[in-house]
Amino acid sequence: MLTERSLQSLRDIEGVYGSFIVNTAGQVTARDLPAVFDDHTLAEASERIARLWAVLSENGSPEYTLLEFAEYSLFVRGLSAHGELAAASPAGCLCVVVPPTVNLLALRLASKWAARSIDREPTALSASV
Amino acid sequence: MKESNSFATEGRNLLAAANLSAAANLSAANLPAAHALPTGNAPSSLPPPPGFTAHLTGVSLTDLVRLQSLTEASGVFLVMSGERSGILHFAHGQLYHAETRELRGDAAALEILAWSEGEFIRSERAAASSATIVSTLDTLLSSALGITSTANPARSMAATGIRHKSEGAAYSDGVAERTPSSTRALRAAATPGVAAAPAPRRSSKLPEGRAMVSALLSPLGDLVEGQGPGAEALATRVAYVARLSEVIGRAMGSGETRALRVRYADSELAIQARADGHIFGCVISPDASANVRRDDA
Repeated sequence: MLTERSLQSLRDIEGVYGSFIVNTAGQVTARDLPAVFDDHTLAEASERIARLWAVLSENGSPEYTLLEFAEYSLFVRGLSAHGELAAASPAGCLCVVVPPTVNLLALRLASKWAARSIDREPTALSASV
Repeated sequence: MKESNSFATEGRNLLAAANLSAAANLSAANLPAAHALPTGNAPSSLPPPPGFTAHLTGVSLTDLVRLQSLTEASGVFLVMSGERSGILHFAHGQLYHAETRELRGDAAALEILAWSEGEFIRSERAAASSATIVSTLDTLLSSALGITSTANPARSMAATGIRHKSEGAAYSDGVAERTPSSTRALRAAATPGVAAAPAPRRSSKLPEGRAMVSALLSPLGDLVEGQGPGAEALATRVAYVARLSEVIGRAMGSGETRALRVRYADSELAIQARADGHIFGCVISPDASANVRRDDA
């Protein structure tokens, strides 16, 4: 419940289409996205997102990454099952689908707070979707 | 995926037929400051030819460019699309110089020709003294039309050596229905009532500042140019990350990858897909990251 509320809070940032959580196994564990993104679509992308985050974390844990596509952008931030240890032991990603015009500074802070809440949720990274 | 394909030419009089004459004349004083480009000893621009001035809508930029070629026009044209702008120089119908804020030559022409909406305005700016365009206009137009479509399988396959799933019938049957059809559809679903107008785009330009290490990859994945320590390692990383991004974008129906930024505590990795199929990646130093923060703000 806390996880869903955290994802919904990201919609406070203007333009945010929705968000979802991916664990290190590439499984979507929670989502707050329009129905145009069905579970199969997300499953296909999330496996690669988990791999991408693992590659980017090889030389140090990133704060975030922003993938800019022709249609919209994907903001990704690391998660951990151990709260503040996210940088040391990434256990998943918070992914936010945003327009190219999103206020990146506001999104960075909003996603940081959402990630903290999600990190405190014991089941947030367990596959359930 | 283009939401529209419409360019307007500004002018004082309405032109009845699209194929009659060129665009309108605007005073150089009306041009944005960003286009106060140095011209050195460049020759003065030709006076605008006599005839009609025009105000057209619904015309694609490629058609307007073709029109200059067909009429063997000479002159400088300012192209504005949202926050982006660029300049095209013609001599006797030949496009010989193009320039945007970041690019020049063929790359700039391809960037400009890929814009789907905007204004095409005759400028009184001096003609460029030297040519930077290498490709023929036909080649540029063909490439631009390929770039503006959401899928360019031949180019992508050449770049990665991997055939995309979307090229297979089995994939296209299911995924085309599952993935979001367009940004507008997505915006309509996500933000009902406010999704009518297309949103302006955040610039995908690279962060300003000094790059500690950089790598330019060819469309085939070869390291064309590397600078700084660890350029080869960076090139490998850039190639794989770019490929993963492409697959993610394709899976989510979000179109081709434009750029990728990764923020670390003390540096930033920036990857940019260029119009000619090359991929540029660089790691920005901490000092430069400060510029990035200002850019974000």
